[in-house]
Amino acid sequence: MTALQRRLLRWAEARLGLDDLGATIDELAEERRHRDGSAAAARWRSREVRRAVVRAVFSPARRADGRPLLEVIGREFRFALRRMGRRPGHAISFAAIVGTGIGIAVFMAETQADLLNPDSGVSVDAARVTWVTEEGLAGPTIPLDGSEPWLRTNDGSVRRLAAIWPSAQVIETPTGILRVIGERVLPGHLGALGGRLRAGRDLAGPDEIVLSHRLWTERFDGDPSVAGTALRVGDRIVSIVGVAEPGFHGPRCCVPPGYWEVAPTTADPVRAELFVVDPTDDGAAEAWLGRTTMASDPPGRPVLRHPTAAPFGGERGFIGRILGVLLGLAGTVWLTTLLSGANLVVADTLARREELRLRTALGARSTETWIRVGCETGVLAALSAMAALAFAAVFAVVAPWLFPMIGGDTTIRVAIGGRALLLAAAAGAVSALFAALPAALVALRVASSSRVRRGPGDSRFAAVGLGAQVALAGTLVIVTGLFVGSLRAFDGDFVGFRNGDAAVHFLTATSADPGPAVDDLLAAVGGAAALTSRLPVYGAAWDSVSTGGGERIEAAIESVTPGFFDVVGTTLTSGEPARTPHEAVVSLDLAARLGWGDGAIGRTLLLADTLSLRITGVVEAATWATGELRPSVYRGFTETVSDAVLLARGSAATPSALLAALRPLSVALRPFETLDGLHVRSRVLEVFLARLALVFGAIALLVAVGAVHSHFLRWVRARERDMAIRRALGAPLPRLGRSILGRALLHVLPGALAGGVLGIAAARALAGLVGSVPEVGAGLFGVTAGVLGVATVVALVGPIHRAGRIQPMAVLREE
Amino acid sequence: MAKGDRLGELEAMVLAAVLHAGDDGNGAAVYRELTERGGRDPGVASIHVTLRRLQEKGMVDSWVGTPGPQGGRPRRFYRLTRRGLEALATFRSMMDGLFADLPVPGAETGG
Repeated sequence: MTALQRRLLRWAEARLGLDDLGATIDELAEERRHRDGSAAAARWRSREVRRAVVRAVFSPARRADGRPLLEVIGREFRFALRRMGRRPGHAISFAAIVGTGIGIAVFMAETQADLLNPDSGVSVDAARVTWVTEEGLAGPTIPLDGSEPWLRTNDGSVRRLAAIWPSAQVIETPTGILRVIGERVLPGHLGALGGRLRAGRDLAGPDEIVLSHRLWTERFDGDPSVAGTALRVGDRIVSIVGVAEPGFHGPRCCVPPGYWEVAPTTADPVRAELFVVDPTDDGAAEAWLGRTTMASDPPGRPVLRHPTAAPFGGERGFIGRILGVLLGLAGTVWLTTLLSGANLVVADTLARREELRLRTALGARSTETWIRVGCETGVLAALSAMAALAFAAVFAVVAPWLFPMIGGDTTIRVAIGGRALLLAAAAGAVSALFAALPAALVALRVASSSRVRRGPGDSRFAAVGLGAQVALAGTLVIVTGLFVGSLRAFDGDFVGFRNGDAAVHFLTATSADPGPAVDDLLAAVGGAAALTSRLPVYGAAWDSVSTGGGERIEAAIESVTPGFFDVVGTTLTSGEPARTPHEAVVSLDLAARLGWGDGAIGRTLLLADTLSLRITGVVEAATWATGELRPSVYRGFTETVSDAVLLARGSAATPSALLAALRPLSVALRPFETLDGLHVRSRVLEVFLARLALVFGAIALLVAVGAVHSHFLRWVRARERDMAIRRALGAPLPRLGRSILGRALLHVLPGALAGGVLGIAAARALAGLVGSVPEVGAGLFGVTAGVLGVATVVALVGPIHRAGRIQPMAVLREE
Repeated sequence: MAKGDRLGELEAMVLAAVLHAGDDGNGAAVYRELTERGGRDPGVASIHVTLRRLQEKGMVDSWVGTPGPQGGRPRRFYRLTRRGLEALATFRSMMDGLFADLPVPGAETGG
């Protein structure tokens, strides 16, 4: 019989649960060899082997004792459950450690899916609205009475329309003068957007306003009798008739309105921001908008905007990258806990080596050992998956703390549902496989080896796993340090309101008060500073530009101080910044579209057919990373300080000094938001990253500490006799402690070194994805080494204490 | 008769072969009896699987013998239990009843 035939027969025997199939075939083949010759016997044997293999392939697997495999697995599962009941500590440790890792991974995966895919679980308390057009875009007048064809549905009914004319107004509240955004709207505005009133009634006519819930609680102390009272808005006296429900702020971006009033019938629709409220799904809304745009060409760029779809607004892509990084971190935490869980199972397997040897001596096959270890680990993994779901649910409850940038009037809920259950089950299965594989290999070696092992601490699997855990914990400590470092770096370099990756700007305000002089404000900032007219409250200013007689081109217009390009990190390709309102810098693409090529400087640009601007420079791009059309014309600064946005970057002043310098100026400007509020908001992403990395890093470190602790506790237990002899011979406890510490360093040091290398790799990867991540410096390495050193010492307190409690006489008497 | 006591054709043939093999009834002997007397060769693996099934039904008893003087793996031997004998008898009477007074072509020509 060939080796292959023998191997196939053994496999068929094992699968069919037979024990002498091969012997029977051998005996019959031998008979045939005597009777018919070798060739005939070989042919017959080949045929029988083939038939046995075919039979085995199409038969359910059985064990050697003839019982179906499923029955065996069921029995082993029952045994595992009984064993878990007898030793709950082991099961709880495994489930707590691995469950934490799976829970973090599940939570991050859910968050990733929910925040970036609005229809999968995130609930945002806002109406589903499709943004149709923006204020300030040229185009025909839109009739708002429902006669516009593209406002009609297929069945002829008129879609619900919200038209908003926003304006900044100064109001006199009981607690002082305040600048707020007021929205003039169509009658029935709140109802069209699904909003309800908290108190009073809806708008019915002119000179009536409905307060936002936030303004009512913050400035009117939630006075229930506010309805019917009078309020000064600018130079008018209006009557408060109602208060909106909490959380309602309408579909506009950025600054929530303080009140609503009915727009006069003479209000120009072209100046309004229009929103079509569409309760259908995104796809249908998009398809409808596409058809409608082609059919009747409504004015403006048809920008789909969906508050439920983009809770992060224009930073969605950036947030996606961040969440991707954090998902990777969560995966690293999971890996750490997996290693810890595998170590626990390996140590447990080593501790029962006598049982395994006995089973082998009684005839247990390796398959049965695999099944036993697999079933026990499977039960532990199932328990971990359940713990993971609980953990993920707790994490979801505290999600608002982790996602401070959502905050405000919007509520984010990360749903832990059926998909999370599937994810946890899959992760649990992977965990079981990961933990069972080394444990089963150790079990097989222990069961077949007659060599006396000294104890669990000698396992190479455990040693490698421990080192890997320390390495991953070290990596996460470095990554956490990087994020915290980026927070500090950001704090040191910028003040203001973050705008994409390129720059940070600080919104001062619009005000009737002209504010301080431009030079005074820029001097207060120090470093690179500039002013621009581009107010995020209103969006960019657009207008037509031309060379006089040719094509009119729609362009973004911005008026900036000369330092603008330095602040946003863009240099002029030629010429110099505009210094007067009659000068301008144009972007390269605009110069090309106007047919100027390289000869733009010195030419004249006609703005809105009326204003001539002399071109003084050309710029490649001054990107704001907002996803909008790039600003193309930068005029010399024309505004007062109070109408501008202050950009500050790389200020020489410390953040606190800069804040102190700016605070009195900004208070005088009556800003929409306090300077401190803006300062907090500007760092919200960095705080988010630092908090989450801190949580993940702390968990990974705790898991590693737990692993080192339990590993060396077992190690000490396995060496009680050795240590008792040493104590009896006069070895002092500090010497024993040093030997334990030395042994621990053998595991921790390589792990810490590997963690350092991984940390550098992670920093490079993060810098590519997120940007603004500082380099890994010697200081961070020192901090990481210190943290790991302290963690190791803390983890060894228990084992050393245990060694100190060894009574030499008692141990040796038991011997 | 319980459902588990009914025999299939191969099971009945294997039971008969075990009976013929007597005290030396290991797998090889059963195979020889089945192929020589029954004129059928279902394969060694099928015979072993059927023997194990009959053992689960309690119709066959088995034990592992001692290795021969040349060594080698120990062999498993089989014998019919009372239940197996009864099942075989029932199968035979059922077949006899079924074929009684039936002009079977083979029986006429082959005798």
